Amino acid sequence: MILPMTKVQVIGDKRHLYPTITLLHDLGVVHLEDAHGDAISASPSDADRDLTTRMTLDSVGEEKKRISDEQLLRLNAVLSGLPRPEDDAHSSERDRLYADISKSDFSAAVETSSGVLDEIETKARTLANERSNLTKELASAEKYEAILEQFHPLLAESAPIQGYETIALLIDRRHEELVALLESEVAEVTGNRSYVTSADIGEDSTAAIIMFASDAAEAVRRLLWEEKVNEVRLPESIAETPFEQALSELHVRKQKIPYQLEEVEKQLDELGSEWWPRVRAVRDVLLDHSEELKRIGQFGETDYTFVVRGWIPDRELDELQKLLAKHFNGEVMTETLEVKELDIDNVPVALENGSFFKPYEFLLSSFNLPRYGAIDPTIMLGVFFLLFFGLIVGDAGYGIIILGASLYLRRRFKEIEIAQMASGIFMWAGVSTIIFGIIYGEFFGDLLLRLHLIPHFELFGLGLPLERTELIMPILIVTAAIGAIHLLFGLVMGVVMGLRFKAYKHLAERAGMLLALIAGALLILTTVLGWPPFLMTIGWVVLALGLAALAYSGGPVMLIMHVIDLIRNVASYTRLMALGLAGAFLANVANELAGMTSIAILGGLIALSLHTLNLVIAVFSPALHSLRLNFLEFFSTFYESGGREYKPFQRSEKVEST
Amino acid sequence: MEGLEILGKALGMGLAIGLGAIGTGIAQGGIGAAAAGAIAEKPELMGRMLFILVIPELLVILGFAMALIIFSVL
Repeated sequence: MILPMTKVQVIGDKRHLYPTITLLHDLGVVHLEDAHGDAISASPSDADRDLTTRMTLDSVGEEKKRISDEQLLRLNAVLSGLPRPEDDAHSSERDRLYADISKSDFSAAVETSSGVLDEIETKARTLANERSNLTKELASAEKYEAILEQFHPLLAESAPIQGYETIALLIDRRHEELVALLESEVAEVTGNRSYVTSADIGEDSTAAIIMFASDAAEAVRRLLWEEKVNEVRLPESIAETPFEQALSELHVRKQKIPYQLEEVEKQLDELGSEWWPRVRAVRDVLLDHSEELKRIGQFGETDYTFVVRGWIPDRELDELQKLLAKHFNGEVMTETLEVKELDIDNVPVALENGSFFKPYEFLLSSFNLPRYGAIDPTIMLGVFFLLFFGLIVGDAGYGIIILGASLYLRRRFKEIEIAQMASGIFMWAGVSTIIFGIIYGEFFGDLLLRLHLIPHFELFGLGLPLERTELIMPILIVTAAIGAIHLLFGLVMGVVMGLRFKAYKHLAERAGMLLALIAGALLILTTVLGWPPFLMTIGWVVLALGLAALAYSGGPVMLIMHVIDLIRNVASYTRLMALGLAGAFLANVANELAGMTSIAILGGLIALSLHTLNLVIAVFSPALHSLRLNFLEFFSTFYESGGREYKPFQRSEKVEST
Repeated sequence: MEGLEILGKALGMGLAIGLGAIGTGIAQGGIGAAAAGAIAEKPELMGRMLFILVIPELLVILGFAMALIIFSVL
């Protein structure tokens, strides 16, 4: 059901502004709207009544905002470097501390935050910096070690000589001729007091080492710069050391850094385990305060009062009024505002159908939320989805696997919402599959029937099991009938919706299709079952009425379209039979092939792989098609979408899962 | 049953499914290409695109239903 909403306005003495915001935040049920004169577009009907202007932060508010922003920046920086402990104990510790700190006021929260920062900010930053420096150094040590090792064969030839300097160069193989050129030019600038040696390294570079008299160093470097040749520069720490020594030093560093890194990470983990819950809790409390301050821009004000406007579920209104009366002695009042025609599309939509149907609410909102005042189809979606899914897959063996896998997912990923939603749907889809599997007598296809392990019996005059692979035509007719009934149901609701929203063209269209559908069913049944002929006459009359209504709603062309639509929509439900039979046949083929091979293991493997394939198809395709029958065929008969999501102003109580 | 009759039924069933599948394939090809583009721009459209993608499956499903009717009735 869609929760009924009331438009509420809270007006109060400005002195109570901040306590009121905190109270609303704690209550967490009001969907805030802009409450000042500039917000005409958000709420057209309020345009005439606005004497208020947009509220701006006073000096106290500005100061609070400045402090909370500054503290948040520092807390977030600490938090980003602090490893989060993975166990539940630390999460619940955070929840406890959060509850504790949020009880106190802003200045107490800031005090706690400053205290926490004083204690660990420097330490956390130092450790985090150290970690990042060590990681960088390790990466560069690895890089330079590789480069220097390439120079190793050259270094043997160019042992350091007093009064001489060396420069190492790495040159692209395509510019190999550069080495000879450099040799002559360097000889020129140093007056023949130089020595160049080179060797090819790897696939595409050439290494060169230039030795030259130290007093010509400046001239040589300028030359290299002019020629755009890049010198191999070592990290600063070993830049001054000769190559040979630098290489051995790099070796040592590369050995040592991982141990140092491990040590730093251990310290960080300890710090995180001790401090993470507290830092996170105080950060979240300050985030709440900052959120409250941000919302002030949505409020309206006059000289002495503030105005807050928003939507609240009807049943919460009493609680809000009681709390305001208790805290502010009548100096903060609520007023319910009339919801005008223009406002209907602005009312936020909150669905509530109990925990069983929660996952279907999620599915529905990912499709399109219903409009406020329209029918909430969540329960119908859930019931028909489960029915269709079972009807299609209908295999007890597959059902047991689907049920088992869903239960496992449910226990394994408790924190992940999407896993909970999916398992909430597929758990019951598995149950539905098992029930239909029993009706069809299918357990991994016709496995049990083949082995004569299923007794034939009668229930309510129906011979069970119903072997669907033998009953193609009856099942085809039954599925089309299910479609007709499903659509009939939808069209009745469509007519109700048309009346409720006074949309008469829509009403005529749906009533026309409803009558045409009834007439069609009546005519077919009368012909096939030989009912009395006067029913035939009634059928024709109803059909004429229906077609007239359709012609009124959209003209003669649309009349034809609507009739085709109707037939196509009913025919579309035969997929319930077709998909189901395709799956059942594939399962039977798996068993058949397994039975044909004389080697038992090979047969088992063939059956296993085909059944697995079928099961994968059996989860994906029937789910999609069951949803599609609901969303496309069924919803087109009555669904009014376009609702705004209800987003109450509330605290972030729970730690989101990582 | 005469050989010719079996041949006719088999051909009919094959054509019903085969032509339906070709039709579905052509339609899904176009939709799939457009959907892939749309999802690349807006990943949140994934769910809706999946529904649009399965719309043409009606063709092959009806073909399959028709084949089954030929199989069991004619």
